[in-house]
Amino acid sequence: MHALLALSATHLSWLTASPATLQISYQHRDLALKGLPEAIGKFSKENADAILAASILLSWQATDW
Amino acid sequence: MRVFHSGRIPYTTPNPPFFCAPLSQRGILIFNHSGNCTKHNVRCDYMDQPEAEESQQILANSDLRMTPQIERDIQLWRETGVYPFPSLGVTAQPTLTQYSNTDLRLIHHISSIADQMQNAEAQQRSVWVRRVPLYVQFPFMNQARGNSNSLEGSSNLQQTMALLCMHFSLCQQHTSAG
Repeated sequence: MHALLALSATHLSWLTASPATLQISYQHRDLALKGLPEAIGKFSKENADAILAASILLSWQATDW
Repeated sequence: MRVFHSGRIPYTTPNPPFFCAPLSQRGILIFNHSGNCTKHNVRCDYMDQPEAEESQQILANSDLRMTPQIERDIQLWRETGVYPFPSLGVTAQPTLTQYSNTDLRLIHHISSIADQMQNAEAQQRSVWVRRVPLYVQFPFMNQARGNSNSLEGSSNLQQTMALLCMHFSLCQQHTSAG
């Protein structure tokens, strides 16, 4: 969920040019990037979809390609 | 937790621990004393995480483009539990009490874009239009374990991955040709 919230906040910060909104996106992305390896460590049928969705959403937000 | 590292990239014992976001996305988790990116030698944005008080200030100063109509939508969503974008077909319901109004505003924002694009793109040819509603749904579905829709979602995700692979492949071909 944090990966999705980060994407949304990033888009809003782009629309509004608000540094505070950009900071919110950093907070959510930080939480998502910490939670993802933890979820991968507990990989199961139940969390597989969420892990894949979070991975794709975070890859869309990567800026260092 | 396992720590992956490349032989080319230095890392040190964590104090405090943190992950380099771009590198961790590639499966390389870096622990570093200074907090700066050891590969690019720049300050890491993720080291600037605010304290609780500062976090409240950020929320107060943030511009979330909240309108009275959106506030009403979110309030109604909280009261009834009915997702405000029925056309996206998000059936699994989240536990709304665990989300702040800011979180719900962010979900509302990304959902509204998907909704607008779905309405604008009648033929639904783009990956975004077909798949973003799924991304909204997956975290909720993860909460509602045992939901039979998760199997359907899984096959949709596989299709999404196939489409993304095609997209990247086309981009690479385009780059090579250019």
